[in-house]
Amino acid sequence: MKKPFEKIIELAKEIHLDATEKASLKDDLVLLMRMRPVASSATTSWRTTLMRRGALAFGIGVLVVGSVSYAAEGSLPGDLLYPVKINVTEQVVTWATRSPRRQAIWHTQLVERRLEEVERLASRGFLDNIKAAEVEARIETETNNVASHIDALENKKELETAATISSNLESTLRAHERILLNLTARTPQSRDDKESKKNHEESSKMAESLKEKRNRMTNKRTSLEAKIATSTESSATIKRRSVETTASEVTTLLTSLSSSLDIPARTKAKIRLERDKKMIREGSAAMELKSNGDAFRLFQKAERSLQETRLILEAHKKLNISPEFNGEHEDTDTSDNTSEPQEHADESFNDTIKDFQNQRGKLQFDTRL
Amino acid sequence: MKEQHLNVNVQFLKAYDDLADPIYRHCYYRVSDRERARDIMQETFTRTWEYISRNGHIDNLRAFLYRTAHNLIVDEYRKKKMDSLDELRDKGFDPIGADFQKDIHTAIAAREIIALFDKIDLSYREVLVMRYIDDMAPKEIAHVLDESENAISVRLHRAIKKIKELMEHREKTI
Repeated sequence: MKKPFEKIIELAKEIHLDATEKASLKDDLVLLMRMRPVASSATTSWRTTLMRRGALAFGIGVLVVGSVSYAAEGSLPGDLLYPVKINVTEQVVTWATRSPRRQAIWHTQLVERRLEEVERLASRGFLDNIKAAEVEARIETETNNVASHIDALENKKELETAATISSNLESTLRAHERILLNLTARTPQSRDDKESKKNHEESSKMAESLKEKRNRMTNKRTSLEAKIATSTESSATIKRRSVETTASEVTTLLTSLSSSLDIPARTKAKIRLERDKKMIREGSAAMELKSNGDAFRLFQKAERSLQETRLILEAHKKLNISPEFNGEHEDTDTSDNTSEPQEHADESFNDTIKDFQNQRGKLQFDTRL
Repeated sequence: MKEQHLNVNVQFLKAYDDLADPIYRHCYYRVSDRERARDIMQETFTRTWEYISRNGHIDNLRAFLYRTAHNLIVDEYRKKKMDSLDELRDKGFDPIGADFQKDIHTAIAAREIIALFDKIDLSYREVLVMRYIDDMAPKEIAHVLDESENAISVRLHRAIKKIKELMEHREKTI
């Protein structure tokens, strides 16, 4: 005879999602899988999956819409299907996204999508003032959307979440600013001088505009971090887990791109990676001293830098441009209260090079379960 | 490579079909809120896909999903001061929701479990949910929570003892 607790448990296990709800959430997931395919050829996989699964229980109409949406996914401003991408496919995901946090993340992804479109146009020499103005307006709208959601999270006292999202957008904007400046330095071979000049101008203007947005986000992020006076241990632990995962992903990406990078670019990327791993170790040391607020900020700073590295490497892969890590770096940004004074920055950087060259202090991240 | 990506997509969607309900149930008994449980379940699959889309390697998808859900729940506890069920009921909250009234026995059982779990430590609650609702062995629980199997066994033993005390007390007061 079963004991009372076990009897209750047996019945309690019957709790489940409503079938309609489960199907609806699956549709949202499928849309996400299309927006964020695996590596390169998942769009083909997606089409095959769609055919295999039938019309997602919505009939042939969904197949037709789905095929058009699929074709629109790679479109750029000025293309026939671009309005489908903006007004249909992305709108569906926007409507389906529920929590304020997920909405902020989705709008950050939209900023990134617009920036990738600009870069693809610029790399081909097709970025004229009309397309640039259209995309710039969308980027401004989406950045403002992210800022609104960050404010909403701040009002709900979800300060760490708000700080993380502002930090992510900041690193996205910084990375793409660098990519655009890198593209500005290149002249497409097959275009005449007048169009190349326009392309250059628009890329430079866009990079300048991104800098202004990035500075706004830096101010927001630093004000949020200042309010996170004492983070809890669990917040710092969650942040550490996140940055360790990012470090592992960047390491994997760099390894996969090693053969396509020239030696200077590869070396700079590795040095950057080692410096960020060192920052993670410093954050862990701060946690041991119960300085969880400092640990959180250090992990966040490392994560910003890692995300920037990843985006620049991914641009190298997609646009076939040599990654450029020179220029203004966050260590010289005095608004960040965890950055070292400038006179010591070179010293710590040299230490990082020494560590790297001596193969010391490698962190092993086990993200495999 | 295309074949590999196709397999990943198919496998992931199959994992959703198989594990959406168990993950939802897990979240439900830990946060005592149907809406939040659904959001956390959705977030769990979303984050896992985002990891996969960056070519993250996942040996054990089931364990990864449970670990992700667990981290999100811990995040939830941290962000919000968890109101006790009594306080929530005073505000007119019913964790079960109207839908579950369809099966009255299930609804009653769910309410009883939530009422019991509400009275125990969160760390006891998490192992009880994984052991009795998710049917995980102590070894798997240890893997998800990144603790030793011994620590989990000890905690389970204490949690069960606590539940029994609460049930005996409840029977005496009826």
